[in-house]
Amino acid sequence: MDPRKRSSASRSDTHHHGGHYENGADYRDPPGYVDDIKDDELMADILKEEPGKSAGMESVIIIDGLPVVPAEQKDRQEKLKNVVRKLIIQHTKCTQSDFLEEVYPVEEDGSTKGFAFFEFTEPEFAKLAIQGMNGYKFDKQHTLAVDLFIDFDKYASYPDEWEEPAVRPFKEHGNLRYWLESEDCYDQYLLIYGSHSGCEEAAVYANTPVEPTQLEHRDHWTDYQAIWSPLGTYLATFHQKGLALWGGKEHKQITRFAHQHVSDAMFSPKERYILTIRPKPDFLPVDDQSMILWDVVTSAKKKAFSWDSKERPSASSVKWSPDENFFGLMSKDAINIYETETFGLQNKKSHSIPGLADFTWSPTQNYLAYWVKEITDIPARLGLMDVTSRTDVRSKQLFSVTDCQFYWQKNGEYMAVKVNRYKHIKRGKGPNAPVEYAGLYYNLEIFVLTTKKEVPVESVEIRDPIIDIAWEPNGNKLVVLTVAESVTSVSFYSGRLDHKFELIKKIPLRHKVDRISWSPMGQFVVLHTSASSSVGYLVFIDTADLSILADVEHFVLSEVQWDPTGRYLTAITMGNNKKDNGYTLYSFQGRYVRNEKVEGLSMFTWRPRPPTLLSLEKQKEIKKNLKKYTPEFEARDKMLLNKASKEVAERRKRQMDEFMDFLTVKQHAFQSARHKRIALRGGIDTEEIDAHPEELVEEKLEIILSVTSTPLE
Amino acid sequence: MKPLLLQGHDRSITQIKYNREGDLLFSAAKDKYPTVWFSANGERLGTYGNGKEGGASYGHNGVVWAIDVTWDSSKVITGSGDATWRLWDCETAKTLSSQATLTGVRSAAFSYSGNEFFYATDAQGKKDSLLVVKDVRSASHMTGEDCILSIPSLQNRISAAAWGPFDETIITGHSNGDLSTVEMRAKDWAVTHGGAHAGVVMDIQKSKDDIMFVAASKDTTAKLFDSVTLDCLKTYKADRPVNSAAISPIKQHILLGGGQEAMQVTMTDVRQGRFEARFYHLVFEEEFARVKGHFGPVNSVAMHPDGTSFSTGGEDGYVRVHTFDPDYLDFELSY
Repeated sequence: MDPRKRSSASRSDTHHHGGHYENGADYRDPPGYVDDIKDDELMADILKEEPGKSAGMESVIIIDGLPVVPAEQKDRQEKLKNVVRKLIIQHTKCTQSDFLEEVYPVEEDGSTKGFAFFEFTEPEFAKLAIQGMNGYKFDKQHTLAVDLFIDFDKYASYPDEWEEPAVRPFKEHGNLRYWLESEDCYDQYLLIYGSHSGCEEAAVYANTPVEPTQLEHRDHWTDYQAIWSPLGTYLATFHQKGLALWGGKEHKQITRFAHQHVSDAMFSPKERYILTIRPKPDFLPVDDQSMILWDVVTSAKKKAFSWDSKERPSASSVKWSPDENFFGLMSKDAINIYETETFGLQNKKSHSIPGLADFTWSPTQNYLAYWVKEITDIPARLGLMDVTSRTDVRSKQLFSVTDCQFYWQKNGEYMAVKVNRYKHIKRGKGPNAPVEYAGLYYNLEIFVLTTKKEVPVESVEIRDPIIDIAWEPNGNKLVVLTVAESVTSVSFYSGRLDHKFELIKKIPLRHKVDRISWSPMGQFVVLHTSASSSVGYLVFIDTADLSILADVEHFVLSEVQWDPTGRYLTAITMGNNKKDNGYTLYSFQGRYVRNEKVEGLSMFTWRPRPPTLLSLEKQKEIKKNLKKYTPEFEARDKMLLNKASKEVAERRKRQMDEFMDFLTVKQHAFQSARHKRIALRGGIDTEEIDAHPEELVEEKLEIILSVTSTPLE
Repeated sequence: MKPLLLQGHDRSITQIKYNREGDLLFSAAKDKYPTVWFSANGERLGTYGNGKEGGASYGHNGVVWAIDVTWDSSKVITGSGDATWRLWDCETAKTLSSQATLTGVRSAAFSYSGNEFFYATDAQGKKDSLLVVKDVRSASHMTGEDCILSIPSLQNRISAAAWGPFDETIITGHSNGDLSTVEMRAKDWAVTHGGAHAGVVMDIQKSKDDIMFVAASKDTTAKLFDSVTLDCLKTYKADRPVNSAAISPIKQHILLGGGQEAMQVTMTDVRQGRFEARFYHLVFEEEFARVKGHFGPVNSVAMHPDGTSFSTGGEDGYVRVHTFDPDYLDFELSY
C-alpha cells in the first residue's frame, strides 16, 4: 500500500469517525454511535482563539479632557481632529492607515463632548498611545486622560465590596531538605543529556563511592536546561511555556511560572524570589513582560520589567542584595534600587550616578561597589556605597582607566578591583572617532572591609596582562594569573595585619591555563584551561605551602566544578560531536577517582548546600579533634568499598559460572567430533601436531644459488 | 616488547591473517600486492603479484579486500575490488587459477579442509551480492562456471563471512547488521539473526574451537555469538566503529581494532580517534588494556595461533606485530 495514501486515509478517519479503510483494522463507528466528546474537550486550544464579543476592543482608546468645540465652529472642530491625530502619530509612530476609526461624539446641538474614541489596527498602538499621552498637557486648561476602552468595563464591573480572598488549601510538599539528612552526606548532582537534541533526559545522582546511585531519571524533564536554587532546595526546569519548580524526595512539581519562551532565570540569594527572562519577541516593539519577578513561595507575579534594548536581556542584569531586601538594575547614569517590601524604588527614586559604568553588591553586606567612567578631564572613580543610607563609604579617583572589574571575596571582607590602565591615548577627529589606547598596564585596588571604622584601599601594580583573579573563599589569599612572553604564571598575594598586600610567591606554569577555581572550603585551588583550549590541563595547588599537588592532562575539558564540600573536583567533557561526553572526578589533591561516560551530556551541576549551621567555635573544635574522628570514618569508607568490590566480584563470578556452563556443553560436543575434523583434513591430526610444537623437527635446506669456480693454481 | 613495524604496503591494510603455525603473516591492502611476512622478525618473504610471468605483469589490478591461506600453507586465496579472485601457490606465488566475478570480491576464505573456498561479492546496481563456494580440486570449478553453491544475499550486501563448524555452514554478516548462516547440505539460507548489530558487520572471526565467533561492527560494538544458533552471548562496547575483532586462543580475551572513520580522521586528534588495539575480557565485557601505535583506524586484527603475540593492520598502511610482555600471560581479572 502506498504510504501516502495510508496516512491520508487514517487522517480522514480520525476526523470523521467513519472513513472507509481498504484493508487492516476497521475503525468505523458502530451504527447508532453517538459521539459524546464535546468540542471544547477535543480542541480546547483552538476554541480558545474563537473570536468573542470583546475581540478587537483592546485596540480602542478613549481620549478624555479634550476641549469642547461648539457646533458652529466646524473649522475648529476639524483643526482639533488634525491636532489629535498628529499627536497620536507622534507618540505611537503609527501611520494614518493604522487608524481604523475615530469617533468624536457630539451633543444634540452639534458641539463636541470633550472626548473621543480611537481604534487602531494593533493593540500595541493603543498601549503606546496611553503610555505617551496619558497626562499630556494639551494646552493651559486641558490635560488629557487616555485609557483603554476595555478598562472602563473592567473597573465598572469591580465589586464595590471588598471580598476576602479564598484561602488556598495548603499543599504538602514534604521535606524539601531531605537530601541533607543523608547519613553519609552524599552530595547530589544533576545531569542533562540526550543523543539527539530535542530529546533531553535529566537525571539526579548521588555521589556514592565506587559507583554513583541514580535517584531519579525522567525523559523530557526539561526542554533545554535546568538550574538548582542557591541553597539547593528547588530544581527549576525550562519549558516553552515557562518554568517549573521541583523539590522533595520524589522530585514532585511544586509550582509553575508561566512565561512564554523563557530563556534564562535566576533565583535571589535566599531563594525567596525568582526572575525569569525571555528575549524580546520580534513582533513586539517593546516587550513589557521581558523580565518577570516571582515569589517562589506564593507563586505570585511580583513585578514585570520591559526590555527595549537590542541586546538579549540577561539574568545577571538584575543584581540582588545578599539579604534579598533590595535588588538593583542599571540604567543610564543611575542605579534603580528596588525594595522587595513594596517592589517599588527605594525612597521612590533611582540613585543617580552620572557616568556609571558598572556596579556589584557585596556578598554579605548591603554595600554596592561601582565605578564611573573617565570623561576627558574628570578622572574615573571607584565607589563603595552603603545602600541603606545611600552614602559613599569609600571612594577613590583614578586616572587613565579603560575598564574596571570587581572581584569580591565570598565573605565580603575583601574586594579587588582589576583596573585596566593606559599610558597614552590617541583620539581621532570628530565626536564618534575611535579612541586608541597605548601602553596598557594593570593594577589592583584592594578594598579591605575587615576594619570597623574606615575602609583602607591598597594598590598593587601588576605589569603583565592579567588573565584571571580569584579570592580564597574564606581567607585573605588572592590568586592572580598573568601571562608574559607566552609563559603563564600564577601569583599568590596575601593580606598582612596592617592590611598591606604582598606577593608571597610567583610560580611559572608548564602549560597555558586561564581559569582559577578555588575549593569552596579554601586552601586548595585548581588552575585550568577554558573550553576553547584543544588540550585541557588541571593544576592542583595547596596554598598552605604553595606546592603543586598534581598536574593533570584532561583531554577535552569543557568545564570544571567543585562539589559543595570541596572534596572532589569534576572535570566535565561536553564536546560538539556528543561523543566521549562525560565527567571525571578528581580528589582535591588531583588524584583520579573515576570517570563516567554520558552520551550527549549537555549539563552537569552539583546540588548546592545551604551554609553550615555549626558555629565557628564548633567548626574549630571539630578541626582540632579531626584525628579522633578520622579512624571512625576511614573504617566506614573501607567497609563501603569492600561491599562495592564484593558486589563486583560476585557479579563477575556469576557471569563466569553462566558462561562456563555454556562452554562446557559446547566443548564436549566439539571434542567428541574430533574424528570429523581429522577426516576433513585427509587424516592428518593437526590438533595433535599443534599441541606438541617441540616435536617438530627443524629441517635445514641448502639451496645453491650460484656456483663459481675458482681454479687453483 | 617493542613492536615490529611492517612497512611494505603503500595504501591502507584491509585484512591480515596468520597461517596455522603462526610463522607466516599474510596481509592484503588497498594496493594491488598481497604480501607475506615472517611473523617472528617482520621480514618480507614476498608478494603475490607485482612480478612478470611470461613477460606480462600479473596479479590483482585493484583493492585487495580479502586474503586467506589453507591449513597446510599450500595455497592462498585473494579477493579483489577488480572483480576477480585469485588462487595462488603459497610458496612460489604463482597463480594457480583466477576468475572474473560480476562485482568486486569483498571476502574469501578456505574451509577447514582446505578443499573448498567461498567468496562473497559486493552488490552493485541490479547485481545482487553473491556467496559462491568452489572446490579447488575440480578443474571445472577452477576454469568454468561450475561451483558447489552460488546463492544471492537475501537483501543486504554480505560484508563479512566465515566458515561455520565442520564446514557445514557459512556464517555471513551483512551491511544492515544482520547475521545469517547458509547450510551447505541444503544449499540455502538457514538461521538468520536480524538486527544482530545496528550497523555494517565488518569482520567475523571464530574462536579456535569454532564454538563461537566475534563480529565487529560500525555500530561501535563487537559481539560474541554462538556459531550454530547465532545467539548473542556478549557485547563489547567501544564508542568508536569497530573494524575487526579476534578471540585469544589461550585466554578469555577479545582483541578489538577500529577507530573514528577514515573520512573524519583529519578533523580529529589521534587521541580522540581511538586508534588503539583494545583488549576486553571475554566474559566480563570489561576493557582492561589498550595498545596504541597506529595513526589511523585499525582495519584488521589477528591473534597469533599460540596466543603470545598479535598483529594489527591500519588505515595508515602499516602492519604492527606486537609480542605480549610476560606479565600479560599472568594477568587475570579477579573474581
